[in-house]
Amino acid sequence: MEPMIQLNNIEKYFEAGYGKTFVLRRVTLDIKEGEFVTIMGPSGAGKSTLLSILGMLDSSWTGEFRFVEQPVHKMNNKQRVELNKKYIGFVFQSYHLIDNLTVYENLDIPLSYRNIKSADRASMVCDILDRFHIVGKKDLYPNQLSGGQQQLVAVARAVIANPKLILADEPTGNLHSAQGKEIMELFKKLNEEGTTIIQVTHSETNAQYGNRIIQLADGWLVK
Amino acid sequence: MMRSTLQDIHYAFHTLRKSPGFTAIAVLTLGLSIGANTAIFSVVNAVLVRPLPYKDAGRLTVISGTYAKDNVTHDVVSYPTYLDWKSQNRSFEGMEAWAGWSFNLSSAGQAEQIWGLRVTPGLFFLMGREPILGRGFRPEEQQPGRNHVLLLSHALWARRFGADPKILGTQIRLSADADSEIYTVVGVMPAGFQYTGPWDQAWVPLVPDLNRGHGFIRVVGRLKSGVTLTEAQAEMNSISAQLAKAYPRHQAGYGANVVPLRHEMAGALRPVLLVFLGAVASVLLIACANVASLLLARASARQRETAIRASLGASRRRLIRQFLTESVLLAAFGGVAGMLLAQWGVAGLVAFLSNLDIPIYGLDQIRIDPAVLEFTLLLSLATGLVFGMAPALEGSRTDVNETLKEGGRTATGGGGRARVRKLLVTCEVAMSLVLLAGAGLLMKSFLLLQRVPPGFRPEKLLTMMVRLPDSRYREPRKQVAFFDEVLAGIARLPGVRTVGAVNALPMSGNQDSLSFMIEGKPASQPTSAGDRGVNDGYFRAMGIRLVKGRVFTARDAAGSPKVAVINESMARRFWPHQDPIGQRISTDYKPPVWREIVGVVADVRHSNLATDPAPEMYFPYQQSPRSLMQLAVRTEAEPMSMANAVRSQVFAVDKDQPVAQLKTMERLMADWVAPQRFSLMLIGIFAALALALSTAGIYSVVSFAVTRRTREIGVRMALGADKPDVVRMIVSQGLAPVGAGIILGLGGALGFTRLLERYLYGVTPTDPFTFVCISALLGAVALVASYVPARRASQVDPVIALRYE
Repeated sequence: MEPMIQLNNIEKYFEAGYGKTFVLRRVTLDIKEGEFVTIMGPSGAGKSTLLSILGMLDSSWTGEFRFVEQPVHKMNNKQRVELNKKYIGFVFQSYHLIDNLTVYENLDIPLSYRNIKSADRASMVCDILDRFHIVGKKDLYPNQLSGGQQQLVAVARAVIANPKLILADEPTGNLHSAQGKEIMELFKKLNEEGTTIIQVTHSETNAQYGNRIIQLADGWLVK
Repeated sequence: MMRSTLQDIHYAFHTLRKSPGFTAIAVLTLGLSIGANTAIFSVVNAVLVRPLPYKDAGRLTVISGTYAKDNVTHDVVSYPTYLDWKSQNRSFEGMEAWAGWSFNLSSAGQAEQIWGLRVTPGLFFLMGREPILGRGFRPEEQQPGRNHVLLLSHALWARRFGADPKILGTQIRLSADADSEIYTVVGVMPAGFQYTGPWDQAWVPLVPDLNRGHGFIRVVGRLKSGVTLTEAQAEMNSISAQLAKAYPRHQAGYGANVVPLRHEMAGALRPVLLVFLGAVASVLLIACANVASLLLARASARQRETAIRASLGASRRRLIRQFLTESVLLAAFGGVAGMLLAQWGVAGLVAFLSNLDIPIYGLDQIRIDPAVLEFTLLLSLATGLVFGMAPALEGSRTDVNETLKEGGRTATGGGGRARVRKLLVTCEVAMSLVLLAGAGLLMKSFLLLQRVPPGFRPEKLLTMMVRLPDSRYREPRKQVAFFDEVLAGIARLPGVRTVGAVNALPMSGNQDSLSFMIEGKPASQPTSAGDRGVNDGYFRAMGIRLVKGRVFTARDAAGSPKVAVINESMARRFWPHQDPIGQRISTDYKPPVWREIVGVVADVRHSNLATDPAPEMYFPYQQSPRSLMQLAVRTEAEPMSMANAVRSQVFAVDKDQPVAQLKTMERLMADWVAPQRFSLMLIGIFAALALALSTAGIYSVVSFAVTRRTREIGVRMALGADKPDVVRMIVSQGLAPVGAGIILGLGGALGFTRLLERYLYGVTPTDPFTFVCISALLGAVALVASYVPARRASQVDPVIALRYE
């Protein structure tokens, strides 16, 4: 069986003056389905950029990228958005819940972009509220929740459409240690249930939740 | 306090200078709308507000005859009625009368037709204006034979007599309806004195006509000090009731209507101006909403600055004052820009109104005077406070802790401001729809009017009027001989195809009708129809189609059998199931003079394009001579290029006969639709301005929302939204307040368009087609205004957007 993600010589750079400033250099990497991979490295190493490329949010790169056996490098933007919708869920450091929507409405957003009937959407939102024990918070707005609760909702939002891959960019960066631990336990559980997880973190403790660590430095894959 | 105010002004200057783009847009928006308001107000001021140039003008009133049965409220009255009103009332200090008058002036240059008034001698005293040269009229000068005295207007004195100070006693040769010829100048009235309008050029004494059945004069009265209009009206009602009892034959059903002179002079222009004032005020409100919206956006962007000021000790009151200082300063700049724009606006309005060729009292007084300046100053100040209040209240409300904690990030919060801005867009759209609906109805009406066939071919047709004085052309044969010779001379001119003559030309404002009887039908049922005396070339020159029978020929001379041609309306009404050819009619009763109908011609819209054709009967002018004839000359080239040649043919026959109203037929027709065109033009300009401002308002609100929601859009894209999803979301949210505005506006438009009813033709004030089209237009414009920023939103790079954190 082919790996879920195959990167071959991925490069990303910006034109700067007379030359190029590379963000990623010749990154070649395989990630199998069901893995829990941690990307680490100093600031500016290209971790978040790599995550954006994996999440189909960034399309200006060179090299070959195969995702679930499909050649992303040959796809147009629309096809990439379709892949994102079908397979990927995102968790951000700053939660990125939408301020003027309730918890329920925030959870509904990913479903609203996936042509799912409203009755089915309602039942999926109820399921996830129940699964994450946040039924009582469904009518609250993000600013009425603690940081940990907001990230819990963000994770719930990332998994609501049953993605095969969750990409998490510093998911505990804004949380205190107890809240951070709770979120990491949740990722671990999701991984055990079969979801592939790729996280970016500076935390050695959080890295231990995964089964593989990838080190980036100045855009190069060093380990 | 003074120091802190100066500090606020200094800071406001500094802030506005630092945002030149915002300042320029706001000043231009305000300048356009304040300028439009100033221009319209300068007309309103001259026509409706500025005191009339008479002593105690507030007490001057016009007393008109009324006839309730026919809903007549502004009728002329007879001289005996005037005398009764004058002698029996206790409400008026004085009461005088006047009647219209025109004459041919042939002294001191080329002959021309002059309009003036016949007045009772006390009129000038009543108005509080005396001649600047010479004297007014004496009571005995009302007697026939002693009435050959003349007062000149300042304008006529200057134009025709070079302001000659020795003009008094000069004898002037005049030809009027009456057979008087020599008038002696006894005085010159002050410059600007015009009672009925700029057309008043001379005055002569009014000779009483004691026939109670002959209504021809209008009455002006000065209320006694302390007497109200209502009291005077009540007294006039009671006098009218007494007169009705005393003279039932002439006075039964007649009453009196007392109206302030100011209202009477503004006439039909008053409601129009009030509509314009309302429309232009709406434009200003839309501009205020727009600038308020921009300021709210700026308040969001300046949240951090406001929080820092508050944290440094600025009270909310002080913050509000700071915001308001900026608004008022902006409005002041807008006021200055508006004043400059208004200069052009006023010049344009005056030029257009002067071109209308209808008497407008106060036209020469339209200018930007101190009263208009004061209006603009107050308007600018009020505008600054109106559009500045909401942003000041919203902008000064800030959570210092939260704002500073967020590190100045502006991508969140501001929900309250967004709601206020959406509400402003709703109001802008509603007001724009009201104006657009008005403009749409006027446009449709105007287009319908343009498509109405007049019944003749107006192109390449030169028209003019020649009025022969009774003194020299009393005998019909002299009148016929004169016109025969003039028409033959014009027909010989190279470039003239045909020449027609008629006593009342279509669209000229001249109306003549006569009662007639039909042979074989009882004379007790008199009927009437338009009375037209024409030459044999008239139908061909005008391009009026012959439907049946024949038109006149040279053989239908004075001594030939009497004949008539009628129009289709007359044929349909009086001979619905019969052939009118061969039927006989008579306009004389004792004894009848029968005229055989020899032809039927197509209907012509005589009064104007909006009025349906009425029955008309045509007679050969040789068999029905007239002293006043209007000529219609069909030319090969541009008609006005023939004007001098045609005029010289009239002078060749009689050098003292002036040619009046030399115009092309197309111009005559344009004059009739000029008021509609004027209303359409102004309301159209205001509506276009409103639409442009609303579009900018919608764009700015949606655009700002996109900027504010960049991060949210990035998140949505990361969660699976594609570009169409983002465009749909932004556009639908942009259109929501527009939809509400359209619904609100439709309600307002139903009220507003009723005010325009009198200017509409062939379309109702609630025309569904227009309302649907206007709503669709606004919707489409709003769609575009929302789509542009929405498309920008769809280009958001989620990677960059999410990096905002």
